[in-house]
Amino acid sequence: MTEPDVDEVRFAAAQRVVKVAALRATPVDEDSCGTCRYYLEPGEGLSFCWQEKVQILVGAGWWCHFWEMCDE
Amino acid sequence: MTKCPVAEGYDLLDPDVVADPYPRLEHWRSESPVFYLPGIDHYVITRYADIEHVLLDRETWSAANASSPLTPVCPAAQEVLSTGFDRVPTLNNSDPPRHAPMRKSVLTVMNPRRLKALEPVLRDYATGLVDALKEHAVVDLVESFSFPFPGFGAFSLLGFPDRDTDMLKDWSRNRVLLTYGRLPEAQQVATARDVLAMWKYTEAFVAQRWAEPLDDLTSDLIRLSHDKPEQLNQFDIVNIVYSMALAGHETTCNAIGNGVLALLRDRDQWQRLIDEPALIENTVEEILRFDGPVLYHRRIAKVDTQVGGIPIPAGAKVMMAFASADHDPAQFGEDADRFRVDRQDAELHLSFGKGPHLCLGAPLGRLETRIALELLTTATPDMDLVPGQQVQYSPNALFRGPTALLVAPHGVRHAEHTGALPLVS
Repeated sequence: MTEPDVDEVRFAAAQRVVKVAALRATPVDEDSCGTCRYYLEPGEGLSFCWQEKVQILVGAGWWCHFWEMCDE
Repeated sequence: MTKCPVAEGYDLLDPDVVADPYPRLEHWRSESPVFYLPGIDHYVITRYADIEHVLLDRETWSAANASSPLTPVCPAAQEVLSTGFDRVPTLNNSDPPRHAPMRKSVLTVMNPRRLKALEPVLRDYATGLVDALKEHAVVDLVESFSFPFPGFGAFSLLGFPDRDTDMLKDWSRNRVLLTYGRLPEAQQVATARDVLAMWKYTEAFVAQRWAEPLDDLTSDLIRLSHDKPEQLNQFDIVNIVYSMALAGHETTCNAIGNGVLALLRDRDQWQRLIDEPALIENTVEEILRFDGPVLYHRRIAKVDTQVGGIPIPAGAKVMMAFASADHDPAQFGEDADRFRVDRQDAELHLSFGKGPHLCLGAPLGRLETRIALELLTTATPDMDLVPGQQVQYSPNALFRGPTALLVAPHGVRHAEHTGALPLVS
């Protein structure tokens, strides 16, 4: 059985999101994706981010510089 | 590690450098990407990757000097400021733990919903300005459009009365010159009085809204303060409003001026926007990259560190040359010095910073610049630069934008035929 090839296009697209959003796998101050208005399923450990520049699966404990307050 | 090159004689306020900083920055970036400027006691970082790293590393770098005067203010001006100018670190110049509650307060009140509500108001106002512009054969675009439009946006967002706009813009201009320029002492004193006046005005305005909140961003901050007094107090709000009263318009005014200049100098790019308006959104990013309104931003090293192999001691002040990073071929390719409205990576520019200090006004600045381009390309597609003009820039080291930009809204030929410009055979 052969190893699957790395999809270079998708890899580059993911790297670009990390760069554009300054995405990191840790919170900043007390803020993280799980408390951001763009986190689609609050309470879940992983969820889709619907911020227009991100649009990928992210972790609740991650953070990016597009972080926004949830509507109260 | 290597010894840091020293740039003796390189002056950020040299008129030739102010007029066009890019060739020198290209020289430094390729020859000595980190160097020391003894005249102002700052290290300068020029490569994209190095600047990106500094912006994202809050353990090593403090933002405390981000809004400080580039060179010390003279004692007489300092004395004027000491009579009530009580500014404290608030947004772009604060570090943890103060930064988070301040940033969060602004994000609470300046949210996408408020911006969406503001868009039609901004568009109406800008349409009125463009209609007035079309009445002229030759007009100064800065005075008649790029200066008043973002001013209206920022001041109406904050709730400042329309009647105070001209006064606030004058004060703001002087704030920039005192902080980032090199004024003679007598002028520093006069300018310090304006800075103090703007501060006192902001204090009085916030006190008035505190007593009687209305429907504006300042009043929303006050409501937030009533709900969460541990997060935000009245003094914080004065500082935030004072910060936003400058940052909210000066940069966008410059971005629109720089952008229209770049587009009209490269007529093919202007025509492309007219033919393909879908490119306008990307053009906003390319304007910010190619000739952005903020040339430099600053940090202080909290610990001994190094950048690009050059040692930087704790306490040293650094200038991150955004204008250089955004022309770095290592990031933007060999044609980084070209203005291209269809550039794919334009949005990777650092014009708004990056990371925890990403400019909070970025969405508003982008919106206003986009509206400006949409209206100007639609209403004045034949617009030309008036030929032969020497474009002047504000004599300061950090903010870049034309102080005037003469354009012929219906084209140079039309202006010649109406007698507004001498006929060139």
